[in-house]
Amino acid sequence: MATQIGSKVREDIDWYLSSLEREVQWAVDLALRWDDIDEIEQEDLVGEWSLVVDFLDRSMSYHDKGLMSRTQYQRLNAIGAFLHEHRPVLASVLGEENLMFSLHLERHAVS
Amino acid sequence: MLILAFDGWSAEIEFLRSRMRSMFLTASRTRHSTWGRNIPGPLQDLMRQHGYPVPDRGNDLIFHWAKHVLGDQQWTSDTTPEEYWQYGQAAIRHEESQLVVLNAASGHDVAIVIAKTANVVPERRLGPRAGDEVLVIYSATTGRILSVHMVESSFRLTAGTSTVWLPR
Repeated sequence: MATQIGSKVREDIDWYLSSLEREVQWAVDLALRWDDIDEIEQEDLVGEWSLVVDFLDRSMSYHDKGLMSRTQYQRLNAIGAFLHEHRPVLASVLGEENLMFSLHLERHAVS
Repeated sequence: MLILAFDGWSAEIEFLRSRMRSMFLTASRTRHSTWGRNIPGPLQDLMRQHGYPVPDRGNDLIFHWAKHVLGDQQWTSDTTPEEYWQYGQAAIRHEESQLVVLNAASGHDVAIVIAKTANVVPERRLGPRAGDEVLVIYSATTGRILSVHMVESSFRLTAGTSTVWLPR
């Protein structure tokens, strides 16, 4: 039974990490093309940003509880490094205040 | 976090709620005046997989429903686009829902209704990735509903210093 619960948790973590990777990539892509994209795409980023925050929160929660495998931990760190690399362009469209939530992960990823 | 009383603002707040209630996730028009929007391929695949028709071009409702119901699995896949929007409307109307305004991105001021999921979505409609809160996000800049989706907690989103909580 314990193994079954463990595999479900691992599956959930993989799902949230995949969602986070996809959404962060999407957000950075939009931010990099900000002046060329449609107003609707700009508003999509505004409207969906809370979901990116939520995916990161859930992923960090799994990490803090020690539930991540080494591979999952490496994926989370890669996301942190990616966010850190693109922080200036994300901050330019989202505002620095709206990126505060990811600082802990970014510092951890690049240290 | 900034919390203000806003005495005397009740009429404006009610206007905002009323405006959000009256809106619909309507068809999008791009700056090139093309009706509708492309639904991304992966979302089209999910729609076909669950037996829903796939339009050549969708509207905002179809886009957000497909993303959050089928893609993010926040609602059960038998939740129709119309029902999905009804849950958003229920969030706006519910007496315990909260309303905040914040500056979310450059040039965009948004109002967000935050409702407890348990108050507005029946248990039978909760998908495997449902969250504890339903958010309805409205752009005060362009007067459009931007999204209806669930999160586990809106705490981080609303913890910034530019967040203003509005009384009911």
